[in-house]
Amino acid sequence: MHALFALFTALTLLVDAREAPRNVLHDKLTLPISGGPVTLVFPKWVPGEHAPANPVVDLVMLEATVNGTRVAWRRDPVDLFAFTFEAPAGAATLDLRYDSLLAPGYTTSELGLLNWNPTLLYPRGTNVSTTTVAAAMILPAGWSFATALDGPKRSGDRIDFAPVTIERLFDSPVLAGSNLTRVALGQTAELDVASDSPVPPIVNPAVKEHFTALVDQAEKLFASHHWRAPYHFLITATDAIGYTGLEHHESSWNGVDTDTLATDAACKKFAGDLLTHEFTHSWNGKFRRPAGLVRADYQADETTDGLWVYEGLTEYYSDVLAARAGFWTPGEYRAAIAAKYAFLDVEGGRRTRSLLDTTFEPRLPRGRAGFPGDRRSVEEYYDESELLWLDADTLIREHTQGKKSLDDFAAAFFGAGGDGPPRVVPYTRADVVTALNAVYPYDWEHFFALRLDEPTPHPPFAGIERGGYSVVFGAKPPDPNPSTRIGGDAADYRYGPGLSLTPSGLIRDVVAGSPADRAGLAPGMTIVGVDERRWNAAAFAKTIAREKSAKPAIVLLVADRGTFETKTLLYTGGVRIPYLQRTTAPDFLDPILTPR
Amino acid sequence: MKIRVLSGAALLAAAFCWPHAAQAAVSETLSVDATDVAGQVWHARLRVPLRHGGDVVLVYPKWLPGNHGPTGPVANLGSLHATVAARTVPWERDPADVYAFHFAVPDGATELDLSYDFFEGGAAPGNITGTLAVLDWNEVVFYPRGAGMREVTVTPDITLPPGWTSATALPPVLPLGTLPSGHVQYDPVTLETLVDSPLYCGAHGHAYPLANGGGMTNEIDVYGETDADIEATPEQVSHWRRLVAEADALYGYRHWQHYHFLLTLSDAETGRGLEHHSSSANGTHERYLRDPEVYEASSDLLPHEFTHSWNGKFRRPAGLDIHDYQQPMVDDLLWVYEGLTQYWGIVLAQRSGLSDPGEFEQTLAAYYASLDAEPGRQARPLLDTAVGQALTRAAQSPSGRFVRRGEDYYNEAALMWLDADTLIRTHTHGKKSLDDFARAFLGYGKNTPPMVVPYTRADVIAALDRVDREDWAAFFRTRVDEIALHPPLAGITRGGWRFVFTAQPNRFQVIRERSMNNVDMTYSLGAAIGADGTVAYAIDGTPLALAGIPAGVKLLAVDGQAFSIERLRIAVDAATHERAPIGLIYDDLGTIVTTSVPYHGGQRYPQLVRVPGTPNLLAAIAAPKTPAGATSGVR
Repeated sequence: MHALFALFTALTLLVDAREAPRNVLHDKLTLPISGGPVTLVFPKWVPGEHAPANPVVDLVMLEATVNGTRVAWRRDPVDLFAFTFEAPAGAATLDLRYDSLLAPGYTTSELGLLNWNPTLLYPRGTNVSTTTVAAAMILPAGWSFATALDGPKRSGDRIDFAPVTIERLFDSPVLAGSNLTRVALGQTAELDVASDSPVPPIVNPAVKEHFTALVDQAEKLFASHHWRAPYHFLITATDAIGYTGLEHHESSWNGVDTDTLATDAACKKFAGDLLTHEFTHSWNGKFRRPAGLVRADYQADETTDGLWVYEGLTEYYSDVLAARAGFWTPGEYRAAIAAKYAFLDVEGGRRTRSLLDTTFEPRLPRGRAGFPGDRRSVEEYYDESELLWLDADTLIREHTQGKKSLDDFAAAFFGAGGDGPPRVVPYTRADVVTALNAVYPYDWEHFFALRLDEPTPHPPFAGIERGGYSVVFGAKPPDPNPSTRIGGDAADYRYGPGLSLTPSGLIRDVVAGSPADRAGLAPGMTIVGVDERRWNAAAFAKTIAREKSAKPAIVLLVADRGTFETKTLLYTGGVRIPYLQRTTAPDFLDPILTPR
Repeated sequence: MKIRVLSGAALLAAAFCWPHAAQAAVSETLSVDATDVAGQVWHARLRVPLRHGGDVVLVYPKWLPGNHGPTGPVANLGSLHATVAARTVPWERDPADVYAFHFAVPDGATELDLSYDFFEGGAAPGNITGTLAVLDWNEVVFYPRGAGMREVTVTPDITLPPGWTSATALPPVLPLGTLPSGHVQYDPVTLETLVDSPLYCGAHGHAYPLANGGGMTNEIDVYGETDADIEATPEQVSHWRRLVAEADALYGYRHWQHYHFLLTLSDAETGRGLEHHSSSANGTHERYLRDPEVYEASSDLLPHEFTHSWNGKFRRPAGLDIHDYQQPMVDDLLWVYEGLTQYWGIVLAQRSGLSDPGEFEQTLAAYYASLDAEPGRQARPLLDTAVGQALTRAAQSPSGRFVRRGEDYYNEAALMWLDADTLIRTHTHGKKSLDDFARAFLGYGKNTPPMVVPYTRADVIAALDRVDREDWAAFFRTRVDEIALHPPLAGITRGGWRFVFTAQPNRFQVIRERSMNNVDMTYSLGAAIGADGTVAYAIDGTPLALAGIPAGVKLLAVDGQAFSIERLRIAVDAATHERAPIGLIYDDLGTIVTTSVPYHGGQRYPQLVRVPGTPNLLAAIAAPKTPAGATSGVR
């Protein structure tokens, strides 16, 4: 943003996080006013969530005073995120106290990831990129902290931060905990790991090497970085929170299991889907950002139709970087790609719903969820867009005989301006097309229109094919799929009998036209008995694994909410797991996965 | 959500219809295939007449009557496919409005055909089981952007699974039974009437006539999982008939002609209650007619939703009287829409015999105690629970109920209306009561077809003033707009009763404990605890919270014994005689904590007790207005 606006410190915020383990923050806010009624807003859209989801109803115990005298407030009956305070004429300062209730999944008794967005109100119309906040936080006794915020001064358990714009404050969460370990990754980044085990968190040397390589590979790929060193990987390592994350400019929140960083093997599960993904967002999402997600404040509605770049290209490069940095082997990368392709290919909803339309999914009202397969699941714009970008990358590589690649686009598009502090450079679909044309002239508009704007019977396959592979199914894939996000159901039988199940036998998904579909099985039903034996997930797996010689009929007793029925599943195809198999074409995937 | 929600249907010819912006009528045809009950899917086909080609924008209902919020379930819509003359027409969603869909229609086209699915299934129970289903038409309809709900006409039909019957306030073209099996065709209705007329269907249904006379009929259509579940006793039927008679006596006039109580009895479908003009959509447990406790727990369900036909559908806050489902609602009068309905719901339950004698007092005591225990009331006025109601469902902190406040515009407003009722009765020496207000404001002096007469707060105050002159503006300001440290107690005390805590369990609470499988120690430990030991909430400043025990933890042991609800009760009782605190071991996300709670107050439950020598106004309010066995014209 421009430095022409003089920055002024308008707001003073104190977040008392001593009860964070009880999921409540006690907040005090002081702001200058010019007398008379004043309308404050609570931020509505939280960057990265792509939804108007900041929990204003969990802002509680809101009390305002002027010179110690209570002032009444009233919520706007149409804009429920706006509050008018009846300050008397001549009042110069408004003092607010309120509590922010936290959803489960941010804190435990020993650690917390503390975001600022649920703790601040500000006058309607405030310019969030120039108005500053003097923020302070009181931590539970003895806790340490890590954050990308500047100039922390600690006094006892109170930390005062240097004044910072609202935008940067919201972009800089605080990781805190009783057991916090810092691991430097060269000169430009660090891991900050909070664990709720009394034993210091172990970062396996190989894992640390992968992280170091990740930073190096990403800086080479994007020919820049847009943070003031060090970048902070803020990591909550506890089974009590598990897999979660959110991207920021100079940091990211990565929620992993207690022992994820302790071994190379455990870390694979979180690599491409989380650790490399949130990091890539510093370039794609925070620095370069779809114009529809760039707003003057957090009240204006976002438009999410650029998420196939924001999330999709990030997903592409996060998997590539997982391989280049050594988190994944090339074989594991291929297994992940195969799993994504196969999963997307059997979705019933893809016949009528375009990839572009799935980018609206985060904005849809949260109600009954429906079953994913019919509707297309929530986040196709991650994985199907990844296949689309693989398609584009291999196309450039093939057409230029390997002289150019999508990396050239990445360096130009995300490296613009070189290293520097955080800033936002918006882009449109036309900008993406122009930048691609600068690398390799092609009808990119049409390329995207075909894959994005219309329903397609299959996900983009050309990238796999041009890469020198085909998707095949078998009982013994050469490499395991390292990711548990896609196809990670406890029992994924989508590509054989055509269903997926929870460990308790609840059917989550049924593939249209599959043996399960023909048997009359549907999502929401629960398998109670298999061939006259009580449901047992392991036994069902053995039954499905039977080879062709076995008797084809599997008799299922199914509970459909109180009603019991017998269904007959005719299946002898054995176990079918998707994987990539080499064709005779040249291997273009290997060059993509080779470290730079 | 406690769905006490939905909006009204104005017939085309309603006498009080006001003018709208002129917009030529749109006449749609809608066919719903309800046969895919296994897949929990409604398949729908819609034909929309076109006036032009090019960019045609259709919208999906967003602000739903009775939900008071933008809850249209557009996320569950799928398989959308559009054609003109059998050729596919591409569509895309409006980037700025996820409820709007653009169709690129060729020039010269006169009709657009849509087919789509609505998926009822998912993590939370939907509306379809293998044996019964509830269709809310708003789930399966689009209309041209900008068209008002009274300007769009829809001709609906539905195909049911073999052997199923259906019930709805929509009038079928032909009498039922003369149609081809499974197919029902309805007359054209406005979009407003369609959305206001849900359809119940199932393999096991029975209609009990409740009233019949003067060209008006009333019936209850009960659908269950088996035939045995839907057999009502003569006494139960007499309660329902008495309810209609008592509502007649209270309101004096009706704003429906053929009313349907629609009721599902299925454990897959509990907790439904959504009001309509000529019907109500109700759902409770499959044991409802067999288990007196479940019957009691649901005693105010039907009276509440029935009352909404007058209060909510016919008379409606101006901010909820929208003419297009894309138009935002303003919820600032829900303390009338829902609060007054909550009051008449529990009163009519008493007058009709649906609730037992004494249940009124138990309910009021439970309301008062629960509301009074909310720390949130120190900062949030009752009004804000109404204005911000759409946010309540978006709450992310599951344990924050008491500090946040809940949908208090129901129960706290009910206590406020009791306050108003007893005030009128006292000041007029029993000559007048809130019944007179109800008759004038909701009965409105004449029978009418379904229609909407909007009101403002000033209208409510003026109508009350005509019954009894008070400073009603100040009455509501102090109870609704301002911070009130306690809920209205005056209705209880003026009613001749005193609010106390005793060791005697409150009946209302006991029933809720059984349905939630927990123990409610709100007024002792300040917490509710599930049968598995999980602390659902721990209210700030009460013993469990003061001992540092947060919500969400799991109690493992009580006084050295493995946790059970019974063990906890024993320990709390024992601590009243002992100096020793209650010893607890709990699991906080993997951290095991051993602690103790120095609480010696024993189990405490809210009750009302009579104040001797004072008039018993609660009894007067609960007394039937019709003679025993009264019905409205049913033989």
